Amino acid sequence: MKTLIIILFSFLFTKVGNTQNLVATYDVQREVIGAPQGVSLPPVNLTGYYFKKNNTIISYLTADYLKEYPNGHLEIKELNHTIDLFTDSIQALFYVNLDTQIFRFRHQVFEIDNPENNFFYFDVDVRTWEITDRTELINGILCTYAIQYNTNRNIIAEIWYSSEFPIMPIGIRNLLNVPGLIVKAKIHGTRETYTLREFSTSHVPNDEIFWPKVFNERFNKKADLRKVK
Amino acid sequence: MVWGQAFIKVSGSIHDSVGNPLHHSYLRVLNQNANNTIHYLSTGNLHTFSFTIQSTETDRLVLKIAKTGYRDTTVILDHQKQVHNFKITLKSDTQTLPEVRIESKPIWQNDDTTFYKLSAFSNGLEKNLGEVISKVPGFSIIDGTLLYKNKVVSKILIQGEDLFSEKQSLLLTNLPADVIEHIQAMENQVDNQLLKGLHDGNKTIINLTIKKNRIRGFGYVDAGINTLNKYMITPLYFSLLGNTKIALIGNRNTQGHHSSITQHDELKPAFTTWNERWMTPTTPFEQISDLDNRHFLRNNLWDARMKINNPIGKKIKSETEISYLNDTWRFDRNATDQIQADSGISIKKETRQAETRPEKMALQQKLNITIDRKSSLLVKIFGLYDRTGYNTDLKQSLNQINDTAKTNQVFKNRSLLINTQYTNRINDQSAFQIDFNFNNAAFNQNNGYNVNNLAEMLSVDPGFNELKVGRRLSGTSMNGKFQLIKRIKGKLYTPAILHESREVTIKNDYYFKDVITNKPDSANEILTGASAFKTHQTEIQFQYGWGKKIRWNMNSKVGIYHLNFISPDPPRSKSDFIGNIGLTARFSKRGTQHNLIWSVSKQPLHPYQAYQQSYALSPVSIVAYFNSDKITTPRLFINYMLNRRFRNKHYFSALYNHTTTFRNFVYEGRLNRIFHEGNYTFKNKSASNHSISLAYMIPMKKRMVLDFEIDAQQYANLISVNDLILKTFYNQIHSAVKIEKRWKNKHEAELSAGYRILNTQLPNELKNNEQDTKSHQYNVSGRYLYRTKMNISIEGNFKYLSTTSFTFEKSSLLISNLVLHYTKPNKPLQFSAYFDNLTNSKYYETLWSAFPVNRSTKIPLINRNLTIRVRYNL
Repeated sequence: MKTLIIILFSFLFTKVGNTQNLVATYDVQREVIGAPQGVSLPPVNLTGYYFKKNNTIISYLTADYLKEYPNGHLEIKELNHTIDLFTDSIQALFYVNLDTQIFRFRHQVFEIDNPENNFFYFDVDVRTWEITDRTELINGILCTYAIQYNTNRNIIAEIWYSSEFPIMPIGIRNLLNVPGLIVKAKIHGTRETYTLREFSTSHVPNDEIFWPKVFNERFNKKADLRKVK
Repeated sequence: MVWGQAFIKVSGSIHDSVGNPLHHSYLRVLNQNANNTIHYLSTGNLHTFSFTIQSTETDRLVLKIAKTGYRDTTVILDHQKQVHNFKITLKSDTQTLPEVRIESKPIWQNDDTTFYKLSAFSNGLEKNLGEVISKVPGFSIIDGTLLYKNKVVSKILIQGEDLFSEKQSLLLTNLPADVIEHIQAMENQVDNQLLKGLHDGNKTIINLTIKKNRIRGFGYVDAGINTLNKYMITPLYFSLLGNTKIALIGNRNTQGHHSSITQHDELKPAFTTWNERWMTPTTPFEQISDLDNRHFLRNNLWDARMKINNPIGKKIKSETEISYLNDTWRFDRNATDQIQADSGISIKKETRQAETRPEKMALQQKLNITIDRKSSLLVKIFGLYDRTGYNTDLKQSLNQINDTAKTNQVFKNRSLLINTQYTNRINDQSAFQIDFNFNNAAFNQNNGYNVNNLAEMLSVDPGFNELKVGRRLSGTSMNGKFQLIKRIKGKLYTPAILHESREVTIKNDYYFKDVITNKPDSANEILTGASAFKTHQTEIQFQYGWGKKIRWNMNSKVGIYHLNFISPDPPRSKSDFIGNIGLTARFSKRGTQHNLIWSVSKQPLHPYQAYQQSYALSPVSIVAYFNSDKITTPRLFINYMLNRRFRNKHYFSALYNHTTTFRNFVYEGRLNRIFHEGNYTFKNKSASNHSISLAYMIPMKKRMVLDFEIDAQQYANLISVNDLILKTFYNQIHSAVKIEKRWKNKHEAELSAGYRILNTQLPNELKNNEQDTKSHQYNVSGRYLYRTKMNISIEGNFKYLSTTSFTFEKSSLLISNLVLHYTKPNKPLQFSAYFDNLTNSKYYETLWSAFPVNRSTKIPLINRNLTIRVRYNL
């Protein structure tokens, strides 16, 4: 009987967890770094994709700006100045498995031509959010404002989230321990602003999405992100 | 696919009730069984939508379409149909969310920076920065100073570059409006970028981003002439291309434009101005804040400014600024003073013709030296030569006895300032700064004053009929400061030590000739002589900042102030403690921003106020301070500001200010050397000032904005008059309503009305039923603009003012103005014609009150004229 109850509870729990599939699309604006002093350039556009199926999550960006700057050169003709943008069509690939607590990523770094695959293990609650009582209506959704800091008290990200919709435990760019659905986010390190365009909980993402071909390349182990006991 | 599930495709378009496409709508598919959202879409810049959902047969699905300002619409998704195509019509929700004047996204915010897209606020006809920025929410201009959210803007940068950044009045009146793309208002800024992220600054900096096609260089030549044969030529050119940035502004003007006092004052750095005012508290310039100069001022201006910013190697940035200004101002002023005197109320009437001839030359060299990634040195050298002549022709009458007087004054000043600042960012959490300032200034002031009929006029005092004054002032001021800035666990600690010393020498040579004896007047002895003093001030300062939700900052200092009178004065010295505790808090809660400043201080008195001799504020206005063994005075200051933008775009702001000064010194103030027949001896005890300003803006439907404003001020004074302690109050209430409307981008109209009342409440001992202590002023003003299809716009303005002064005299004035603009987009030539007309009165009246005088001043206005102005954009 005891075993039966455990199996029944496990089934119910798993069922609830699995119903939270999520497919979301974000409009992303990235600030352009490297403009001459005093020149203010408009940000470049990307699209952010987020997929969650059971306890596996993957997110990435597609570089829409490459349509305007196919070779990645942003030229300011008036000042005879050129800024080089990342030329990868897929960028900032982040994968997480909540069961194994593995964190895989492959993202572009300035001065490194070929991005590398990396992985480490983590605790979901290694970082917490400072949730404020500030609310804002963004694209028709009532959002709460929250900030996440690193250990040096520098801001990692600011988010405007909604708890009305499904919780995304790991958010875009693998933001950890997110308190709700991210409607808008500012990622300070990469100077990107994400704004929710569309989401669906009715679609079940294909398994192939979660293992892109580039993940067949070698992974480097990075320091784990574990909570200090 | 799970058994029983189906794909449903949903697509369509969204329109308003007249069929116009609607963008930025939000769609949700709700499953009513589970009461949750299974799909969400923001349409962004599109008015069409298309998506697919997966559902089971038992799901009850509805599509909800929402858009700000429109009523939500819901449609049922029939599970039997696999494809749905809708044409959605949304009805305007006028009751809850009115259409506002601004469309698209004219304002957005990023941390402490608010961005304003200028095209959303401009009608394209504004000529300069000042005209356009005052239309942007949050900005206002008071006496040539730019305010953002009621706080003084410390710098205006152009494309991030410092080109006359601290000469706001110059930029507001000259920088062309049509080159600006965005305005960035940056709050809580620090001057030095090395300190960024370490502590919250308290400065507001504006950056203007220039349209891409004008960054290379922009400029114009303005030329104009009117039917009074007055003319103006203004060339301007800014080059922002490459490493060397150049700005040139010239001005030749006889029409009264571009010659504000603020611009004259802006020639000097703040430290120099502050140091010179310590020595010479008066400035001979006069202005009328709410009346355009061209209506009353006759001038003859030559003005040239140049600034060159140039990097020298990789580590040094040089900024050179050269200024030359030569002007002649003439304007007339008729004043009626109601003077409360021991013997009753006296009426003094005065007609003054004043001419001011400033000539100023200034050179400033600034070097920004980047020593390494963590440290920098700023060196600033400033030199000024100023020669200003000031003549007046005065006709005056007291109690119906007339007299005439002439004054001529020559005022020479040379000033040298050296300023250095070394900053070292030790690490992420700490930095230190060393400042050194040196200023040397010398003034040479000569006055001649002649009166004709004083003896007859002043029956109680024979007075004098001739006065010659020679004053020489020279002084040096130095200060040095060491400051450590340290952040520990999110809290900010900023200890500092400051030492400041001044040395001032004054030589006064007064010659009053007595009208009866024709010999030197007895006052000469009191006023003639030499004096010198030194002051030293050593302070330990400490700043501490904490809090996340509420940003607190405590600013305190404690120190010793030492005042030495030195030879030829009888040597004597005094010391006293000085100190200050200031607390600031700012926080946001539910869309409301709160700012609080509270401070209590014990400050040094000016040496003149501890000075045993009489001090001449002007040749005929002399104050005698009597030392009461105090060289410091306490002061209390409170400032609270609230700004709130409601979700429906209503905007509310409230500002409260309180200042109380406790003057524990006493002085005898003789209002005027000529008119001291009242023989009051004022001993000023304490004074407090309360003011509150409320503003509420309501965007109404169809591009209409309604503004309400109320300002109230109360000054309370405790004055000891002839040993009797009196309380006097001075109250002022001003209220205004403004309505602004645009129709179809063709018509614009603005109407505002205001009422102002000034009331001086005198103590019973001084009340006199024959005279009213109240004055009233009503004003109505309006503007209407019509754009034709031929690139021509016609603009009409009027201002009506009705005044009842303290003396029951009534005056009214109507200034009307018609302007014709011709501006063709993307063409360099612009044309404007202004026709000014005055009716009802030839005067503009302003009111002023401070016990024991209520004053009404009437400024004669220049007659009707037609002015033609042409601008050619470079």
